[in-house]
Amino acid sequence: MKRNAVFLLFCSLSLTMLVSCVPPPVEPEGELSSTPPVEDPAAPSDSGAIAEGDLAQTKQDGMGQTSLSAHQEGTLPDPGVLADIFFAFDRSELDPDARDILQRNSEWIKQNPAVTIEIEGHADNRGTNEYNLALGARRAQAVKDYLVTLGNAPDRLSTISYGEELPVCGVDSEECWVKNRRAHFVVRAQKPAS
Amino acid sequence: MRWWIIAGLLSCWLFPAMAQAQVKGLIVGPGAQRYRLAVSPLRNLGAAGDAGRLSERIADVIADDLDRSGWFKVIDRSAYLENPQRTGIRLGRFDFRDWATIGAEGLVKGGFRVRGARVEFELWLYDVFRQESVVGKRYSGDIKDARRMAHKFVDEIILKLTGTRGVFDTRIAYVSTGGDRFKEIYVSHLDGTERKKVTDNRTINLFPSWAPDGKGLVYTSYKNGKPQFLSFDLEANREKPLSTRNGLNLGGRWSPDGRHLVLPLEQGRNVDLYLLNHAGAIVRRLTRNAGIDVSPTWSPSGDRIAFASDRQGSPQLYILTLASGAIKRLTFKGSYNQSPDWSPSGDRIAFTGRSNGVLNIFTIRPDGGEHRMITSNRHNDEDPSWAPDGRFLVFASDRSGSRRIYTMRVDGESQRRLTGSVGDDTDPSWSPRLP
Repeated sequence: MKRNAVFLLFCSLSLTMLVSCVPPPVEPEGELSSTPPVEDPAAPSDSGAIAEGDLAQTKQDGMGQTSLSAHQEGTLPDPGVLADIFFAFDRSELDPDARDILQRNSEWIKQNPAVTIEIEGHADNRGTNEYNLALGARRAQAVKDYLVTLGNAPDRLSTISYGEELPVCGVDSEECWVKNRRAHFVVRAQKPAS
Repeated sequence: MRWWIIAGLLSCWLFPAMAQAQVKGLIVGPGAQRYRLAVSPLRNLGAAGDAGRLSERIADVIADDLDRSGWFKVIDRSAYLENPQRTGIRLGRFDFRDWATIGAEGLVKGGFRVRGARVEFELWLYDVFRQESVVGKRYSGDIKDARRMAHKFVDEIILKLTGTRGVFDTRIAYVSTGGDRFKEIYVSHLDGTERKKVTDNRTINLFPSWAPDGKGLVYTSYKNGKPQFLSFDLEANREKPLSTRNGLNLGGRWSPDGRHLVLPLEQGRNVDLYLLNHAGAIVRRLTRNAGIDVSPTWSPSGDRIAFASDRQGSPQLYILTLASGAIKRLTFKGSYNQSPDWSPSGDRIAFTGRSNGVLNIFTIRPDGGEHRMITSNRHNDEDPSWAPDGRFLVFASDRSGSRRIYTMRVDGESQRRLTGSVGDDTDPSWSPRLP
């Protein structure tokens, strides 16, 4: 059971990323208020207070080793543990190759009952982000469904879609698109927060 | 910082009907000749020097806005004859012949006075042929808001000359990588200046959309590791969650009255549209279908919602009538129609369509009539969003190599890029008129 080093990815999520609320500085001397009223007081569309917020927030360094940042830094989990599976364009069905890989993944998941699995659904960059996020969700769900039919407990499997946002290959070519249309597996040490 | 703008009319317009008739005919309508304007550097009326170069900077802002509208041709400053610091700015204090000589039909003149951190502007538009004033305004406020005062003045000019206020005192929200690997939400003026970073959580933030009062944004953010739906109050500088349900919380929008939200949610096995109250609680499910339903946009009266769905195979646009629940397909041309945005006047819906393998911007009437292709180039133009006057659109395009934000008139004329951007810019949303 412990023959493999279990890859642990902790999502140290700052659940509340504190936004700095800068109180508005005190109005300077108010030289404007010493100015006599402008000629036409009946110009409501142009008069009145307009409060403006300073949008700059404090930077939170070390935002946690989320799967998101792990991907973008290229530190993927060992692909030998749970292999990615791939999809046809605009499809979420599992082909025979995908089923073979999922059966192997399923065996590993059963042999490592202490971990939970997050299934990431990804898409290539053709189509809108919204549509691709929904498509990625479908793909992740299709994988989860299949793993459940193979006898894995549903509560050990969670899904998340990244749509086209986290490509592993950044060129607009079929070669790249194939690699990006994937489901990827993240192994976690404990049950994900619901 | 809190600030005040007080502006008022300086004088009545002497012959408004005549001025309007003369100018209106020239500048409205596609293909019309552009109205030739000169924008004089402003006169420094105060005792202090012009350390901030307001004289030329504010004239530049006015000239750039006017040019960007597509209705005006601003005559290059090097052609101007008079010395702006030596001549008056009010009627009778300068010589119109200096401007008629260089071919100006209209003339913007003005002055400013700096006192400490504050500035006061007096700005005029003159009709050079009739030798009369057309618009006169005074603005005062913090120097840092000087550009906004110039935008407001241009909006007054456009109101006077076209009958509808301009949109230069508005903002565009969009997503930018800012040159690094994260996607954050920014707000800037529609020329790309005055840019502010709204989110700064170093993850992925998507689909910004404005609150109807212009005081906040909603968007989808992965800041907590999952795609959640958040709102940001731009005045209080405060973010709060609106929907953190499991699965996708994907690109929702406020209803025009600000009382409800429509949000695509992945509840169960698929993405459908849900109606939420202002606090994010589900009021009811709006679509129930095996297809992907995304990108909702409200009609201005709030009685209908257009959205994109692949329920019949390829992605097409549909319109849901809220009272009856009836759903009608809107688009039939093309195999790929996405990201609708309903115009503020309600008479058109802009969207992204694929033709000849590339994405372009289209508009269509809500009854399916007048299906028009607005952009037509070899690159991808997508994600249109209407300006609050219904005469301009903002969209994303990869025509320059990376993805950038552009504005254009709804007839496709006057396409201009947001300046000063770094990285990939996507998902533009044009603000309503701002408070």
